[in-house]
Amino acid sequence: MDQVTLRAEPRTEFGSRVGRRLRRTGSVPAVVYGRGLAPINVAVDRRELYAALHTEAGSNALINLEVAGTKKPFLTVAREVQRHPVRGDIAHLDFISISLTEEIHAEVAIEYVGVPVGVKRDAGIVETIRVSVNISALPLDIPGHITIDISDMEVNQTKRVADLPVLKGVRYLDDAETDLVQVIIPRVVVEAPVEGVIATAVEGAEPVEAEEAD
Amino acid sequence: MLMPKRTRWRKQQRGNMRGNAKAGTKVAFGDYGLQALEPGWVTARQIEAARVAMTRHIKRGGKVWIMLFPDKPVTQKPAETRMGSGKGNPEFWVAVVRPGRVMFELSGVDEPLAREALRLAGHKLSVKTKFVRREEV
Repeated sequence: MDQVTLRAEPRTEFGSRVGRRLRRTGSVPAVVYGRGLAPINVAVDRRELYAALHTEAGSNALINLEVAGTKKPFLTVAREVQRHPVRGDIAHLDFISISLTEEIHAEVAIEYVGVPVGVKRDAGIVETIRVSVNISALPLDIPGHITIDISDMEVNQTKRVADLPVLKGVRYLDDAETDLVQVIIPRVVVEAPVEGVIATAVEGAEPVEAEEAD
Repeated sequence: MLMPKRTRWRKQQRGNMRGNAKAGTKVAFGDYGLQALEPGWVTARQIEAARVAMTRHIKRGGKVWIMLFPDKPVTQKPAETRMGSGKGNPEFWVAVVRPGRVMFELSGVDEPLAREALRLAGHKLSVKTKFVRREEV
């Protein structure tokens, strides 16, 4: 997995007002910690951060964080990414210091490949239950995504974590029986007739003109 | 229409809707979602209308999740009644929605179909909405 370099400025002021001011100027407040390191409050550029988190490795990208004023960069991964509920901008994140020789936990996306037999032949639909899986691996062994072929699936068949390919150096942390994807026959919804649509005529009834309001 | 089976108290105070949604701001189950952009009350009738609009548009195939529940009773006084003599009768149920709340989710259909289905659903609601995709890992 490639490593991305990201520059960070240490922060000396804290709190929500300072955070808001930082975000307005195009920075994102963050904190660096892990492996016995005392927490360092930093700010990173929003555009650079976006580029760092949108590589092939996704959110598991190895980030070389160059904090101004420190001797050497910290090798980190981004975790606890907090986003604005409407805009989706990153409001804050944690950079966890890691070592290339120690296993870390990561959430990796699952890519489902192929059109199942149950969809082609029996008009079933693919129901994706899980889109990612938790793994433990050395930082350099973490895959960008895990591919699983679902083209042999028939209706009512399920793929589980146990069916994922065995990758060198990767240990799946989720239970082997956890369902990932299944092919089901969709339920046909029968719409009930809407009440009040069919009006019944009343014998002898005459149309009444509405009285005008004052 | 959606409504609670049983409630402890028949009538509630109106409350306020300051701030953004705290939870339910991400697409959790489906692939696509409809997110609220402003605060408001969404009635059980609107939720049902949105659901019907969505399921009719996607015909068969696809799965719909309704991610909000109208658990708040709204009272109204009868028309042409003088003020006083207590609070009105519960008339309908609403879900309190704050900006950011993902109200409906959809999966098993392609994006253009999901976009159109959720657009139609959005027109049934009393809050501004936007189409959102599930966040990539």
